[in-house]
Amino acid sequence: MTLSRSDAQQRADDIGVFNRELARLEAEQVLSLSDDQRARLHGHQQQLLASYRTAFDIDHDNQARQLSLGMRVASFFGALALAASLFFLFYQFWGLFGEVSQVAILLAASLGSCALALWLSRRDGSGYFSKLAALLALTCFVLNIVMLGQIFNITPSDKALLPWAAYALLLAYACHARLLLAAGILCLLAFIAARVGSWGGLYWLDFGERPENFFPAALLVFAVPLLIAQRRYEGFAVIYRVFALLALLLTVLVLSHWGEASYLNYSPALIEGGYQLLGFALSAALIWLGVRRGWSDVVNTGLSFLVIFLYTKLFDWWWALLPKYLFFLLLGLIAVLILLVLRRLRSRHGLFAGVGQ
Amino acid sequence: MKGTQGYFLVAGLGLIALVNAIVLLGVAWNRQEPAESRLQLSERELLSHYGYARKENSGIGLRLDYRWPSAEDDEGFYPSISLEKMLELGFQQPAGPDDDSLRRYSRQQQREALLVLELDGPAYQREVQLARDRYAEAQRLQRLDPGNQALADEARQAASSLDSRQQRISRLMVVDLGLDRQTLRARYPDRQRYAIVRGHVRPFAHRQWLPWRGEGDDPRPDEQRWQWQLGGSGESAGLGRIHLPQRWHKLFVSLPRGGVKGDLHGKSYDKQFIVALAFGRRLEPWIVDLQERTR
Repeated sequence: MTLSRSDAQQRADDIGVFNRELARLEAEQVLSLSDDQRARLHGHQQQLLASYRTAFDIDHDNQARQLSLGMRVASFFGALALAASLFFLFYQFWGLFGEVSQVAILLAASLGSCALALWLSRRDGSGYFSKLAALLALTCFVLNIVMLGQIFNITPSDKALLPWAAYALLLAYACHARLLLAAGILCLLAFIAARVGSWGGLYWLDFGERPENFFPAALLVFAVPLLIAQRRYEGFAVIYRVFALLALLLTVLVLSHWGEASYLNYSPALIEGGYQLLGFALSAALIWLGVRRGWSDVVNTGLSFLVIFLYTKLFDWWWALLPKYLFFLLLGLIAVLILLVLRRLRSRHGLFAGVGQ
Repeated sequence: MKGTQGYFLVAGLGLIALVNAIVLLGVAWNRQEPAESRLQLSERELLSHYGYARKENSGIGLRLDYRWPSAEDDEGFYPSISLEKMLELGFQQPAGPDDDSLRRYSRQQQREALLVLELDGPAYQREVQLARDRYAEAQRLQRLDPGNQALADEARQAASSLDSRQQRISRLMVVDLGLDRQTLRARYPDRQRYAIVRGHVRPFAHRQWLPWRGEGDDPRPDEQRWQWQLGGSGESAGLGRIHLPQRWHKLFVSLPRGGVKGDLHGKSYDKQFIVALAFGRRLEPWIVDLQERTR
């Protein structure tokens, strides 16, 4: 079985925990290793850790982990800044070139940045630089298509979202970059929503004005990790599920306050009431599903939206009616009630019980 | 793992090449001769934003400016597109004159449509004639009461409006809409005067108060004082910034500014030029030629 960086990091963390527990057991005189056993154990662990550090640049202690977090933040902001710089750089100088040169520069930038990102992903065990290069590669490709549209006055179309989504997903899988996966999913959600709207004869840019267009897209994205296993890609299944649920529940939340935007041909008040009920039912169903499948991300998303639906409804009912101290007291009591229900659930089912990915 | 990276590389490079090829082939197909239409436009129809944001963007773009026909009385809100035309374009008629039906009509979503633009034709001449009639009427009223400042202001405004329509603002008018390009082209065969462009149309419903023109207090019940204006409004897609290729940048920058502005006495800062603008098979435009306008 191929070892990934996350597997190696997990093993290194387990070694640290094992050594600490071993020291405690020895101090409590429950277990004692001979010098020979100790030497062999230490040697094996050091050999493993050295090979992981060489291959994956893992964090070998807490200090390294904190520095890694800083490097991730620096890599993220560096990538965003470099992407913005690239965008403005092209705008600054593109007028100095003829059409053929413009196309050649755009194409070369896309191809070159793609090759660079994938070359770096082979060599950069930590992934910081390859992920940064991958985001730059996606920026180059987006710029490529946007600028071709401007140079040749091409009518704006939702079709551009599809290659952007495909390219972002490709880079995400090649470089294990969750940020690019999120970008790809967002493009995919927008593309499917725009297509669904267009099939009904609507102008594609209006897809946001009928939020129900997002329902098929959300269901499709949610189904991806169920149909295609994401075990080799740490955190990818969670990103798929969370973005799908955000698309689904945000749509319901919007429609529960903006019935006019619905495709349904009923009075706005009836539509809003219906979507409020659906919001509660969906949130509760998702908490149940998350508990059953061991998906903590689904439970948390469902729970967050249950609270949002509940609080927005309480605000509608009571904000003008009750004194403010009573209103906030009720919110606080409801929060305590939710805590009690969750504690009961946890003690009965052993919430998650370590399953799920 | 390294083998997988090789597949990713091939797939990534292939995707980039494929998408660029599709886009460029589409451009080539759009620009195949003969062009769908070809108009000779001036700075009246193509607005330049040259200078604005030039520091950050070295490209030059021109915005195609067109106008919708005015109503005879030009008072209050009125829809650019009639209700009959909206029904032709696939919008659903309101079930009745009640508020609920009209609300349902107006919340129908935008739809794509084709717009027919006429250059310096009967629609533009009608606009000039309307402005001329309003100016004549304003002058007549002012002569009846020469000391009235409000009437003098109205006459000055009417003169400015007439001058603007004759000298400055766009002569490109939207004269028709439809869904089928061939039908529209058969109706408007002159490709030097009529361009068909892509656009989108949105329903329009507005409740307008009808002024009481009788003697004394208004005796009408409430429902007769208000009238619904039904129709639609539309706009073109992708004509907000037409790219000026780099080979004309030097000429464009050196073009003289000037000409008479709409307010009768002010000097214009617009560059004076003539542009040949072609629309291709996909109705996407491109600039074929740019010259200095000498008259």
